Amino acid sequence: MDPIQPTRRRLLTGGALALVAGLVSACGVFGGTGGGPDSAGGSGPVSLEFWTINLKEGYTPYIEGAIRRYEQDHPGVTVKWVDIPDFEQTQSKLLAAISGGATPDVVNMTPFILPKFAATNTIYPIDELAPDPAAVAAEYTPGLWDAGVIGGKAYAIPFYGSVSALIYNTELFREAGLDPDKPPADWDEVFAAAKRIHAETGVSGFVQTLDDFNDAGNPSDILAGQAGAPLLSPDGKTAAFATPEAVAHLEQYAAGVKDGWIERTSVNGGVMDGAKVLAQEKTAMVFLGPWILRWLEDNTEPETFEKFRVAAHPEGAGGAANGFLQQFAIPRASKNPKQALDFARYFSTTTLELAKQAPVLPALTATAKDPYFQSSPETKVLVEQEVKFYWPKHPAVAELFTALRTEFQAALLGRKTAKAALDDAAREWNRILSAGQ
Amino acid sequence: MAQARRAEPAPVRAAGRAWREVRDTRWGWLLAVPAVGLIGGFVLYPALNTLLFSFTDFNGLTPASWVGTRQYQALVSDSVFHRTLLNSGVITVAVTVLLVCLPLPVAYWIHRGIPFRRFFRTVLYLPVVVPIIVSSVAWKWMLDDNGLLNHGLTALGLIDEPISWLSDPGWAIWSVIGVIVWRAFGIYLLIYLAGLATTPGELFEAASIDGAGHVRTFFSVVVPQLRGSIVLSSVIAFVAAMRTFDEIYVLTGGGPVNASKNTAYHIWETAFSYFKFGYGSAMAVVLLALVLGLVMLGLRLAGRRR
Repeated sequence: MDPIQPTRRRLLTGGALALVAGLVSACGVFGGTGGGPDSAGGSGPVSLEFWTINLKEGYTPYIEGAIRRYEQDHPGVTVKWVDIPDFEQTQSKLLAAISGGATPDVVNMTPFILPKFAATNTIYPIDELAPDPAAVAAEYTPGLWDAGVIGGKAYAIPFYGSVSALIYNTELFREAGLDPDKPPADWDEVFAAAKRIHAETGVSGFVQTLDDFNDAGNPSDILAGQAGAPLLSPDGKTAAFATPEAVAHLEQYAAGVKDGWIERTSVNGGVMDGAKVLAQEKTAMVFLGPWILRWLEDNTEPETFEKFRVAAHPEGAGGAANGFLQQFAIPRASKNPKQALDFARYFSTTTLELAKQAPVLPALTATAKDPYFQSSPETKVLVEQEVKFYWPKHPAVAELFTALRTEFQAALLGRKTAKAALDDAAREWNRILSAGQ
Repeated sequence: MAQARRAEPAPVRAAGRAWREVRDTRWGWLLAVPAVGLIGGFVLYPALNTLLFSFTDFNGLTPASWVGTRQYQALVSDSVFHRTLLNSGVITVAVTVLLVCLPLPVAYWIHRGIPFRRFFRTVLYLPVVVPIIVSSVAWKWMLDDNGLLNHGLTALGLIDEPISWLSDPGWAIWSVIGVIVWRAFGIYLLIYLAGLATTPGELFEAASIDGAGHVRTFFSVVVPQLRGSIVLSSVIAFVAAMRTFDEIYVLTGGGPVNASKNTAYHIWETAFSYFKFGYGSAMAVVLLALVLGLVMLGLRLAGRRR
C-alpha cells in the first residue's frame, strides 16, 4: 500500500483545483437583470437596500438617524442599511449582486468605480429617473456633479467630497527657519521648503503617495493637477501626459526621493502610511483631505496634534485642487429606482451633520454655504478651493492607474529616467485604451 | 440452493456481485456524499467555469462573447504576467525550501525533550492562529523605513542607514517571503513533530548506543524516518506558496515596480479590480497547469526515490 497515492489524489483534485477556484471564483451568470424605471413608485410598501462605504465605525448614529427621519417622512418606505468596509469590496460585492440579480437600490460609489458600471449599463443614468435632470444637477457643486457625468450623461448623485489640502507641522517649519504662517503656495515653493526642511532638520519635507485616494494626491494629480499635463487627448483615445512639463516635474520627485527630501514611503505606501509618517513627525507636509485630522487627533499626543496646521493646497498648473468624492448610484436591477433616487437625493442633504463629525465637503451648493464651513481653517479650505477630478472617467481607470503607478515607481527609484517612465506609461495606456474592455 | 446459484449465467452473477458490493459499501457512499457535493460545487464547478471563461471576454457585468484562444495569445506577450510567473517561482522555491528545511531541526530539538518544550511549541505555533491580515499589517509597520526592525538593527549597530524592506525592489519580495515563512513555520513544525511521535524510540536508542551524535542521528534517523512528512510538507508548502496573496496585498501591493507581484495577486487584480474575468481566467488556467504539472512531477520523483 503506497501511502503517497491518497495524498496525490487529494492534491490533484482538492489542493490544486482549489487554487484556481480560490483565485477566480466563477460568478456563474452571463448576464444581468433589470427592474425598469416604471416599476417604481407603487402604492404598496417599499423596501430599499442602501449600501455605504466604511461609515459604520463612528458614524452609525448619523446614518441611522438620517434613515429614521426619511422613513418617518415616507410612510410605507423602509430602508435596510448595509455598510461595506472599503471601496474595493463595494465593487466586487456589487458585481456579485448584479450577477445574482439581487442588487441594492442605492449604492455608495466613487468616481473610481462608477465608469465600469456606467459603461456596462448596469446603473441608471439620472435622466431616466428624474423628470427634470437639469434641475437636479443645478443643486450640486458643479465640480462634484461633473465627476459623475460620463459620455454626457450623469450616473450619480454626489454624496460628499473632499479637497486636497496642505497639512503641515509648524514646529518642523520653525526648526527649518521657515515661517509657519506662510506655507508653500505653489509646487516650486513646496520643493524649496522640502529641501530646506530636510537640510535643517534631517526629516523629509513631504510625503506624496501614489495610491488611488485622489484627495491624497496620486499620479493623475501629479501630472494633471501639479504639472498641468492633460491625461488624455481631446478625443479620449490616447495618452497625452508625457509632456516636457510633466517630465520636469517627475524629475523633481525622483531627485527628492533620491536625496531624502521626499519621504521614501511615497514610492510604495498608501494614504494612511503617509498620515502615519506625519503623525510620527518624520515628515513635515502631507497633501490630504482635512478628514485625516480626525485620525491624526486620535492617533497622536495632544502636544503633537497642536503642531499640525491646515492650509490651502499648493496651486498647481492644473488650476484647481485635486478632489475626491463619494456618490450614490442606482443599479438597474433596483425594484424601486425612483424611490431610490429620491432617497439618494435626500441623503445628500444630510451631509452637514456628517461634516460636523469629520471635515468633508457637502455636495449641495446650499449646504456648502452654511456658516459652519467658515468656522475653522479645515472647513474653510474645503469650500474656498476650486475642486477638480483629474482622473480619466474611463472603465479601465484601475488598470490605467496601475500602469502609471508602476512607471512612477520606476522613475522615483531611479530605475528609469522620468522621460522613459512617462513614455512607457503612455505606451501602456494607449494599449489599454485601444483594447477597450 | 448453492447448486442453483452456480447454475446462474455469468452476467446475472456479475450483477448480483455488484449489487452486493454497493449494499456492503452503501454507508461509505452515503458518508461521501457531502464531501463529494462540496468538492463538486465549490471546487470542480468553479474550476470548470474558470476554464470556460478563459475562452471568453467575460467582464462580470455583461454577456460574455466567445473569443477562442485570444486570451491565451495575449498572455504570450504580457510582460507583467511573465514577471509575475518569475516572482511566483522565486516565492515558491524560497518558501518551500525554507518551510521544509527550517522546521526539521527545530522539531528534532523539541522532540528530544528540551526544557519548556510546550512553551516553545506554543510560541512557534502562535503565528499560525493570528489572522493573516492582522499579522501582515503588524509586519508592515515593523518593516517600514521608520519601523521597529530598522530601529532595532540601527540600535545594534548592524546597519547605518534604514533598509527599505518594502519599497526597495530588491528587498520587497524577500520581505514577503520572510513574513510567509514566519507565519507558516508552526504548521510544518507540527507535521514533523507528529511524524517524530510515531518514530520508534528504539531507533534513537540504537543510534545513541552506536555512538551517533545529534548531527549524525538527525541525518541518519530523523530525516529518513520523516521522508513521508517531508514529501507532504513539500507539496503543501509548494501549493500554498503559489497561492500567496494576503501578505502581498497588505505588505507591498505587488510593488514596487511589480517586484513582489506574483501570479495569484495579478489574477485577482485582473479579474476583480479590472473586471477582466476572461483574461484572469486564462492566467488561472495556465497557473493551474503549471502547479499540476510540477506537483505530479515532484510526486513521481519522490515515489521513484522510495
